[in-house]
Amino acid sequence: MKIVCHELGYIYPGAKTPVLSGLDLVIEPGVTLLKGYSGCGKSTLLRLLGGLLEPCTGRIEAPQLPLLGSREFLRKAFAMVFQELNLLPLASVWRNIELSCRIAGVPTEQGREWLNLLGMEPFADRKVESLSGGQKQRVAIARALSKSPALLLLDEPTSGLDDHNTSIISAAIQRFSQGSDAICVIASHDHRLDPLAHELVDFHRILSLSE
Amino acid sequence: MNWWTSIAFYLCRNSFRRWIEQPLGFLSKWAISALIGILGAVMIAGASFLGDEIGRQLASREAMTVTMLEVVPPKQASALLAPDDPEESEWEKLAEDSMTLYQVPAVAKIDEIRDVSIVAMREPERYGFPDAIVLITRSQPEGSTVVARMDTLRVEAIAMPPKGALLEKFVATGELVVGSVKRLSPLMQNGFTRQVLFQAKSIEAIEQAQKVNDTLQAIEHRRVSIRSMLPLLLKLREIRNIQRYVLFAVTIGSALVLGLICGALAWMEFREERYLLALIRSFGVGRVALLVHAVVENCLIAVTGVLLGLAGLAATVSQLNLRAMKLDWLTTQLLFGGGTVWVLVLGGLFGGLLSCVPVGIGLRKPLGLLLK
Repeated sequence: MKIVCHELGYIYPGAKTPVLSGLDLVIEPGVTLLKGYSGCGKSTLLRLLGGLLEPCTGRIEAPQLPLLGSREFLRKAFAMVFQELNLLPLASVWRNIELSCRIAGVPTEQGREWLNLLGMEPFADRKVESLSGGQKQRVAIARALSKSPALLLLDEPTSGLDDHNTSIISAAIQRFSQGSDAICVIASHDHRLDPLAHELVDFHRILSLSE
Repeated sequence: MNWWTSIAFYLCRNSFRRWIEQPLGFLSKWAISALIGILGAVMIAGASFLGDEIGRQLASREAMTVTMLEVVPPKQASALLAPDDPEESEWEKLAEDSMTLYQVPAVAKIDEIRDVSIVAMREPERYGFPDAIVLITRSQPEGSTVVARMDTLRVEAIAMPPKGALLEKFVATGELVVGSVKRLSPLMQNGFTRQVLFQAKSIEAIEQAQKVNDTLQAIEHRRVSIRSMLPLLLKLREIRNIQRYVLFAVTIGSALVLGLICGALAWMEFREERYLLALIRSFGVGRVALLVHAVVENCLIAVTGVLLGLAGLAATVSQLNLRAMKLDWLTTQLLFGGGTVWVLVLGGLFGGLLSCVPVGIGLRKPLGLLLK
């Protein structure tokens, strides 16, 4: 399984210059780490890969996955951890995980395991609103992993987190990537995540070349 | 529990939380719905009252009574006195009740004291009179006889009260000598006035009679005139049609205003929740499910608001002395009967539905532009 981007370009509505232009990229199973300065288009690429945005030019091919952005794809094959608002604020930690598993059609025990691995099992009945930033991010990652997605996208998963939380998250991602042939793409500045990467994409360099 | 039940449950909880944490939006929608429900009910009641009143006027016997007068000169008299008058049956087609009278240009001297007009009828038996000379009067006992002198003819006339609404109206408080055409034909040779009285079936029937009248005048050059309330009736019919449009416009207008105001409020609420809704969409929950939730929520608020307003109005009306306020036409039946409640509830539903249009548009935005 792989994802191939051909001549990918995107310009935000109302913007004068494209954030991505003529990008060619092949993403193989394993962890791919996208690095680059802020605003270079890492997060935009993640949204394009997940079908959350339609490319303005070029195309993305992922023949082994359901149609990108389709409900089937979003429900079963895709999980993404965003920088902000990742969790349903009114639900408990466990309800967040359980709901995600039910939608994806996977056993909820899987969610329990990931929650345990990320050290959030004792907080299962707590309301999400009462958690700290690091705890929320761990729950969001547990929820994403419990779906066993074929495509996992993580947008700055450890930004602003301490070493303790970062190491827990890194360990979970590593375990996930080792146990499946899923594609995991992480957009991050954080050098602490570098050891996870099977492939490290210097986004700034790619963009320079494509220009 | 199915995942979609869980999502629906979560969305409901989220709505309740919003109602509790930000009651202004929810209460505003409710208050606006209630107010529009009250205004709509009063306006519909007013328009219905007007329509009913016009309808009553249109249906009244007085409004539909038509009198056709034709002065028949001596040379045409014999033709119109033929045994079968086809024109009579033509009028009957347009009428619920009709009567043709031939007024003789002479008077009868009753008991050598008073003068009474004479009319001939083609078949007096049809109207409940014997084949004799009859004095239609209310001042003498039925069956008593009087002496009537008509020109050189002296006869005994039987006193009878007027029979039938048309004749009663024609005689009014006076008296009339009635006889068959056969008996009175000697008096009719010098011409007469033919009067057709009829109670029209509808305004269209009066219009038809008017057309016939115009034709008789234009083609046959007959001296026919028609007396009816047609111009007034046509005006009333026009007003009634306008009233129906007003009723329709009030209902649609109320729903539109409700939809626009609630739509603006719903849009503000949606803007606050668009990230959450986008997050739920990113799980693979369709836009339609989220839109259905918004529709149900807004329709529920709008309909309960309208019903609350109507309940408040009913309570207020029952406490007020409407007669003293000269509002006694504003009856409970008029306010809440005749499907008014259903019309307003449907208006509320339409308004609630309309208020979700901005939400529907907002949900079309790509997820990638919302989630950060």
